[in-house]
Amino acid sequence: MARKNKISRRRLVHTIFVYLCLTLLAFFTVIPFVWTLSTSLKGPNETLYSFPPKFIPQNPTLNSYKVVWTTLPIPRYFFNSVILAIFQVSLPVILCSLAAFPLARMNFKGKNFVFMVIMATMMIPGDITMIPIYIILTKLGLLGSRLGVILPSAAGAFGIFLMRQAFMGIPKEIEDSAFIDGTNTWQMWRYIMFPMVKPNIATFSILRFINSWNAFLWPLLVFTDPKMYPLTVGLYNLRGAFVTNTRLVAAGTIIALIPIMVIFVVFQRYFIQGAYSSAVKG
Amino acid sequence: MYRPSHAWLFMAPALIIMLAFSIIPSFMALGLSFTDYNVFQKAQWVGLDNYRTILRTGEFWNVLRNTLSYWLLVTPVLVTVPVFVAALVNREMPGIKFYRLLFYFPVLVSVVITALIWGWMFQSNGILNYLLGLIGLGPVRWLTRRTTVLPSLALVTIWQGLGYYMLFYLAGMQSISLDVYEAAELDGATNWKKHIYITFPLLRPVIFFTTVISTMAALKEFTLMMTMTGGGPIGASKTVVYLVFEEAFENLEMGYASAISFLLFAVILVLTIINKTTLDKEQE
Amino acid sequence: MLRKKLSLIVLALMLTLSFAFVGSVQAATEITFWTLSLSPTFDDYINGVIAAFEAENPGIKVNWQDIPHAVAEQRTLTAAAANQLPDVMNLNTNFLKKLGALGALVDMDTAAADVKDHYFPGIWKAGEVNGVTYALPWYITNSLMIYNKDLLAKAGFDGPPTTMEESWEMSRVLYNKLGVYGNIITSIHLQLPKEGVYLVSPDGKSAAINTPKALEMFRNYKKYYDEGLIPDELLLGQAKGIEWYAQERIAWFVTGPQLFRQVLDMAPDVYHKSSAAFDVLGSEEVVNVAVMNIAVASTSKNQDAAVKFAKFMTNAENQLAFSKLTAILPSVIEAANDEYFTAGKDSTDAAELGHYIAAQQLQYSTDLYAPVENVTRINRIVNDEIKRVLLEDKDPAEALRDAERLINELL
Repeated sequence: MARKNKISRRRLVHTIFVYLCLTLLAFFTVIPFVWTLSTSLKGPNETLYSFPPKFIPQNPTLNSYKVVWTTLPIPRYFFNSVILAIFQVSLPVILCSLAAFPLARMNFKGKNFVFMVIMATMMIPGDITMIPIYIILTKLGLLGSRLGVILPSAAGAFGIFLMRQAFMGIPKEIEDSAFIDGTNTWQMWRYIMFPMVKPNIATFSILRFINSWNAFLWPLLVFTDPKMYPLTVGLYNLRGAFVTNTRLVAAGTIIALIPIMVIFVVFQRYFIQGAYSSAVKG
Repeated sequence: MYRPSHAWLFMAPALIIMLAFSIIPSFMALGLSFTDYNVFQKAQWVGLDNYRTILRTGEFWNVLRNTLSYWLLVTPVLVTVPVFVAALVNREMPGIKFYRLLFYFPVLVSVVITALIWGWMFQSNGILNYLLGLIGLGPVRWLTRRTTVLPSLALVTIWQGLGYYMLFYLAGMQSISLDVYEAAELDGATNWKKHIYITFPLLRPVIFFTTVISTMAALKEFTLMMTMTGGGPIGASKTVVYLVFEEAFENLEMGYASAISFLLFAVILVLTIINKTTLDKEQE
Repeated sequence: MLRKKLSLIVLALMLTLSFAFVGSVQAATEITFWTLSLSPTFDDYINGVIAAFEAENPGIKVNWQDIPHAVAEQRTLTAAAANQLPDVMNLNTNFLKKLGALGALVDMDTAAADVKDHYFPGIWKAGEVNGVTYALPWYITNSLMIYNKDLLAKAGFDGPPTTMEESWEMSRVLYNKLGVYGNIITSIHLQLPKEGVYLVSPDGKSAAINTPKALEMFRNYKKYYDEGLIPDELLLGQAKGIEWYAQERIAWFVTGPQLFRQVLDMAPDVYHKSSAAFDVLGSEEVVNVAVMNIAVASTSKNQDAAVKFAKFMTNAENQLAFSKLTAILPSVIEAANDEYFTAGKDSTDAAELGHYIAAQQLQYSTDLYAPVENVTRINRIVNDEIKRVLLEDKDPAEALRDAERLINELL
């Protein structure tokens, strides 16, 4: 009995300690977000740039959100962003996990060469390939279209590398037993491998979504019609040539952040510990 | 077993895309590095002139030194510390998903807001110096002196990277079978030992991944410097890609800027070869 | 099975690709016009001017596109590389000089010879590289002072400084009494010409910076810096002066009046304590003017129409209308003489008073940037040298010699 008590007390201390660590860390990571949120809630008579900063608004108001909502076609921008995001998440996830599979699990001639070339593209700064990519898009007639934004990022070294590492982590025994059952290559990818790397797929999807959602340069280079601008680019209109309304920009930032947070939380349900054990048992 | 032709079929769609939008553009850029291309005038072949000029002027060596120092400050921390953050949040606890999201926030906030907030932290009478003052230290001139500017910027990158790299480790940890832990617990392993003997070895592919990715990111970083220090004081935080950006978009020396990029490429290649042993081990 | 599924994916990819090939039909004379970050604030104004132009010139259609400042360089260069530069574009002075020197722009001394004398001569020269002017000046802003009345009163002053010496003496009192800064050093390349030190000789062939006056200035700055009067963060461009002003960490700040209202946005209480004053004139009695330009691409297929539109956009009537919308000034003499610019004379609002003062300062206004292609690099050289003197105790004479040598290497 006494021993049991001791254990549960130790567990309690441990839990408190973990929460303390978590909270301390979180305190540092949320400061910019809290500043943005508080700025978006401040009225026009409140000081934003006081030093030291004040985080709690005196008279919180949702007015900035109302103004952003009424001055910009938010639903249209939102729609544009969603369309782009659907393709900018699904295409790289599918194409990269297809390409990564043989690079991780098969032996074939030229494998190391292909992998090296793919990795090498990561070493070249994007600013230097920007003009060549733009010229290629022009030649393909993709300027002004959504495809011009979607295709260049439909597959890339980062995703292939991430998924390759994920596939490499799968124990050989699983593959072997599947082969004994007569599984072919496609089935192996689709029904054995792909389900096993779901946490990595989730991670990659989150990252792709954030990249797509926050993309700024390429939508501006490719789209000639402002009606096609995604949300982040559209919100940039809140920064004027001369004076920027910081409260509105902050409100716009928060509006654009909400979908990212939702996606982040949604994809986290694939983060279930021990995905393999269930696969092996099942 | 797998047939080799299947390998190419699986890779074909991704390779077509990469050929069109990464590989061919990279070769085009490589070609430009042997010319005096400035966008508006016809490019003239200049052979190795750009490379010669770069290696002769001191600026390249300065930015290369800055870039490598920054990399050495950032990457070791970003490969190791997020493992512990991931271990901290890799448990079933009420509100744990919320904490994961909070740790991820620095990645979501724009670089402008990051620069603003950290600018306040680093100011001579800012928050960090205030905290140091409480324990009788400081004040530190965080961003305004040669010696401190890169470590300070590295601190911002690490702050941003904790949540980012945590996510990869977290995904990797999901894939570790619970059976292994259960077996270890039966053998009387403590939490700490479980991590040392189970988590870390099984995370090796992920550790390789984060090492490469954080290296690439560190060696190509420049937006942080651009927004926080402008590469200063007096070029002390100017990185290679910062110089590339300046030459390409301020001075329109596209050929010259390409040549700088490919010299950086060569440096990374050399680093990779030095690291080959690690790579070989990983592929075993 | 496998082949079928994969080829389906490839097929789908190709199909989506083909959607993109949709041609567009071009009208008789169509010109494209790019502006920098003016939409949506000035949508009505720009669309109005375009409509008036099209009504006057029935054969010409103008397509307007607004480019955010943040990507102006990338957008322009990619477009140029793909042979898709717009016909008419809004460029800042530094970028304009670069493009002009590379032959990308139409020579306005010839193409707009008929209207050249409508513009202020000192401002027309902003578009000049190697003796040729490559743009029509559009809206302009000159720098003047926004100052904090409360802080000055607390330090015992009843008004802002009017001479350089006075401004440094006041800075000293402010710093020692209140811990607040006064003068700050940010753009040394604009400070030197105000005292008659030009970075480059008038013909643009050699450096002109190494003068006794420059040495005296460098030594003085060093003295002020060692007294603690010049804050590092602003010297190094790591903090924005306007933010420090809004935080009451500097008592005055010199900038264009169109930016004064940013203080109102950041710190309303500080804005209400503020007023505007003339910039402190140096020995040359000049203030720098920032010019926005309108240039025509030499690749334009409709150059005549494009030049016509550029002239129309920058004519007296349209510039005056633009100046009434925000605290900017017209580059056309006739528009600047309008009585509108005397309206803010007695205003208690800093931005309105500032607009009035800016117009009064036009007689002192001139473009202080060196009229050479590599002006951005040259400015950086000089700024780096003064920072070495201040932060790293480099000998001022040596710093000037080095700056002279480095500038000469670029010319």
